[in-house]
Amino acid sequence: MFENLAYGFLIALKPTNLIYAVIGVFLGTIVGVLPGIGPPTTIALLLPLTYGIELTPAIIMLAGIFYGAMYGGSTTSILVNLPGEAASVVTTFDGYQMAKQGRAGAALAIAAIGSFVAGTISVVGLTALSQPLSEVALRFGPPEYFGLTLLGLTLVSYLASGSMVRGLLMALLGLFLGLIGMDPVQGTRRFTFGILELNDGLDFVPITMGLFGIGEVLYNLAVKEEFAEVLKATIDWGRNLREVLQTKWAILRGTLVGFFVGILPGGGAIVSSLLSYAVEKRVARDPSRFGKGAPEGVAGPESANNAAATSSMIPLLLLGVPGNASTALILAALLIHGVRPGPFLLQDHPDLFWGVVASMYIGNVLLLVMNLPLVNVFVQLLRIPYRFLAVLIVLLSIVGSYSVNNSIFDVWILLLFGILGFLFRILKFDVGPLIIAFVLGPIVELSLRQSLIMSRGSLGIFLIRPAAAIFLLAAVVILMTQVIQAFWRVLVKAPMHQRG
Amino acid sequence: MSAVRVAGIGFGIFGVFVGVGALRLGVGSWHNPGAGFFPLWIGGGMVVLGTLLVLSRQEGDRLQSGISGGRLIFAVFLLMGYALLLERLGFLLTTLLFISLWLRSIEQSSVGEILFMAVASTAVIYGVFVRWLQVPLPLGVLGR
Repeated sequence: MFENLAYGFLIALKPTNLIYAVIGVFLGTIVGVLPGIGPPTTIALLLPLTYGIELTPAIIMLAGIFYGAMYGGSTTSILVNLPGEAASVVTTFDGYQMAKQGRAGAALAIAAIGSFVAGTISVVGLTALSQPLSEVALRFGPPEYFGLTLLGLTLVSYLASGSMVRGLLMALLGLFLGLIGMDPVQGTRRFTFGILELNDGLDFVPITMGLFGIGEVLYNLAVKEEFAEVLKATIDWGRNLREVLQTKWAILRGTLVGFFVGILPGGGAIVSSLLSYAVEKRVARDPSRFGKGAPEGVAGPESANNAAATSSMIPLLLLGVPGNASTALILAALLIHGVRPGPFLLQDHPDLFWGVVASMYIGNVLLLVMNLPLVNVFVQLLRIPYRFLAVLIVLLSIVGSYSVNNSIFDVWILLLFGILGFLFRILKFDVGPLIIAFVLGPIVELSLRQSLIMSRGSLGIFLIRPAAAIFLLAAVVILMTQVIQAFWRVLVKAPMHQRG
Repeated sequence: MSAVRVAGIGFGIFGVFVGVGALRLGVGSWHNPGAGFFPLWIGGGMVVLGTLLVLSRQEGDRLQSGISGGRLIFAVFLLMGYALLLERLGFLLTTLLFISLWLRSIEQSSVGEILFMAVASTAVIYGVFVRWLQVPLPLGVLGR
């Protein structure tokens, strides 16, 4: 393990890779600070740029954006009461209250050091688990992959914002979009309507840029949100570090919660921060302090979201199953370069795997060094008018989509998905499950059809293989619970409500 | 009828369309699934879930208030105009025109801001895509 890690550091410390790691965490911090642009939007906007870069530095940069945003997101949550990205919403509960009481420096120090500790412990976990997990995953065949991807999609839909019915509908739409083009088994054209450009399927870049980039800009045009006053932070190292030490157990609890939630498909940073806040409130001697400036309310969730961002790289890299929209986009970048992540990644591309892991150790140190001293500088970014950013996002989306195939058809696809992205946003349909299903769709279908061909049409193949059976059983239990609950509301509660 | 119910109907209709398309492709059999096998399940799922969405009580599902429709529709038309003109006028002219119209009509920016943004963002995008990534963006009338 240590040899591999040392090899990873050799890769990560190459000047080019180091520069891309710095660019990644710097951009991540900026998008974390700026409301209206989240990590998936930024990764989507930068996808076309990765064509011109080698694979390892490209993934190092995209991963840096993802976990760097977790640091940046806490800054505006604490100083402006405005979460820069969704995983930092929970931090506003107590972080902003601490800032209003003149303890902004302490809140920021807790968030930054908690994030650093959690991020680093999580990378250690990732390093330790990678080899044994890839050995288990090597034994997976089509039935296990079908079970795993189906469980992933179910969990992603279950944990999506809004209801599970909406999450599942988005996942189904993503699966449908993923099967447009040639049928992988028989070579038949499916749902192409005679359009030549659709023969190879829909491209990932215009869809994601449309849903995230254009959709976000249209939403912000339609719904204007006012920014609150920016509070000033003064870092007093001695006093602030004492407060950080007082929250050490909350940081460790948050790290554990985040690490294990992040491994689950659909887990990710948002769920882990909410769960960690609930844990902190439950173990607190005086839960009434929460929401009024309790340091544990910042330490737990901030540690959890960073740990989860790191551990969500495990299912992505070792199983090829992304757990959230950001990792789905990183998967797309890998696919663009012709690399399908999975258990063979460690053997076939050790430089990529260990280079990315080692860059995460370095990235965490960079973020800690960069974030605390520069906190008041980053907050000044909020003064950039959104209208300027909007124009840049629109242009990057259009030119980025055009550059995929030098085709105006992709620009029309971008616009279509931009409008859909806006509609989904106002109707509260989470686009995360759509993106993940779009990427996983071909694997789900192929593994299902291969399993059925292997078993000569017997569904028993999913029951006699233990791992596949466990994955499918878990997916069915979650689905059935939700469907029964939905039918109960429709058939029993609603008529009672009307009578009452 | 709430917008979410309309979305439910939309998904239901789309599910029927996917299902019919799947049947036309041929679903095959359990031991040899055809090209329409998987899409049939997707279409069926959309119909069931779309129906559930229509029938369920929509608590707290009202659209956000304060949505500015005029700016939104104008922005969509501008984006469509950009797509229509990009290959005819070329990247440079279309982008300059687009930024000027966007900032002037949608954001009511000053002339100075418009000039700065038009020149700066066109230069940045041109530098990154054309110079660095060697993407051949359309030259349009400037290339003739």
